[in-house]
Amino acid sequence: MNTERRTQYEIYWEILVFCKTPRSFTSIVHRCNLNSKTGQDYIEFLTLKGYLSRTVDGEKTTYIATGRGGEYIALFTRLYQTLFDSVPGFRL
Amino acid sequence: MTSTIYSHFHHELNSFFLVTLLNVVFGALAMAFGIQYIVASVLGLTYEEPLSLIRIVTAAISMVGFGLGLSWMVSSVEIMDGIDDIRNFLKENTTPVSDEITTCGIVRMIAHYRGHRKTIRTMILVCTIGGFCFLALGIISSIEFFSFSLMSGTITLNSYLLIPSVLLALSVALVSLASSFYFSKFSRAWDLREDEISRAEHELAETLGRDLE
Repeated sequence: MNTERRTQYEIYWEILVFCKTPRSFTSIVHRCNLNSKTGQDYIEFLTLKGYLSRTVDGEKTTYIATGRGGEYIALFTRLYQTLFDSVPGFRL
Repeated sequence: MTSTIYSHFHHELNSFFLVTLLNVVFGALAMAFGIQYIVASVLGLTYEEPLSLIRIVTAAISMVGFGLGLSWMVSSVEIMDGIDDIRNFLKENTTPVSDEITTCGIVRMIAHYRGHRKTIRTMILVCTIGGFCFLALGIISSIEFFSFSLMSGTITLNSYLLIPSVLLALSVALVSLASSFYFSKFSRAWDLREDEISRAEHELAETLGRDLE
C-alpha cells in the first residue's frame, strides 16, 4: 500500500524473514512491496553485511538469510513484541 | 508469551475496527442529515413565499455538512480497510501462531498507523466538533418541541414525530464523542509504541554498526 510507511529496519526484517528459504530477486521485491531500485539497494546492503547469501546457479540467482540474518530476525522480533509488554494498550 | 501478545494485539485490532465502523456509520448519518436539511431548505424555497436568508444559510451549511460527512466516511473506510486487511492476514495464519506472524501483524499495523496518523488526528478534532454540534442540535430540537409549565410542573410534548430525529441527533453526538475519545486513546497507545520503536531502531542500528566494524 502506498500510504503505509515502513522503516528501513522493518523492510530488512521482512526481506530476511521471506528469505528463510531461497528466493529470487523478483519474488523479494514483489513480496516486500518494493520497487526494483530500492529493492536492489536493500538486498545489496544485506548481502554486503553478511545477512543474506547470494547463490548463482546458471542463470538463476537466489538469496537466503544467513545465521546473522537469523540473529537480526530474533532481535527485531523481541524488540517489537516488547511493545505490547511495556506500553499500555488500547481497549474499548 | 507469543500467544499472550497475539491475543492482546488481536483484541486491539478488533476494538479499533469497531471504532472505525462506528465512524463509517457516523459519516453516513452526517451525510443523511445534510441531505435532509438541504431537501427541507429547497422545498421551503419552492413553497414558501419570500426568499429567506435563513433558508439559504441553512442550505449552504447543510451542503457543507454533507461534504464533510462524505469525506469523513471515505477516510473512515480507508482506515477500516487497512485494519481489515491486517485482521484477514491474522485470520489466514491462525494455527500455529508464530512469532513472525505476530510481528508481521505489528509491523503492518504500525506502518498503517504512520500512513494515517494525520487523518486520525483530524478525525479526533472533527469528531469532537461534530459531536458537540449534534449535541447542541439535539438539545435545541428537544427544547423547541417540549414545553414545561412551572405552575403545574408538567412537561408537554408538542409533536411525537420529532422524537426520532432528536434521538438520532443525540445518538450521532454520542457516537461522535465516543469515537473521538477512543481515537485519542488508540493514537496515544501507538504514539508511545512509535517512541519505543525509535529507541529499538537505535539499538538495531548500533548492532549493525558494531557488525560493520
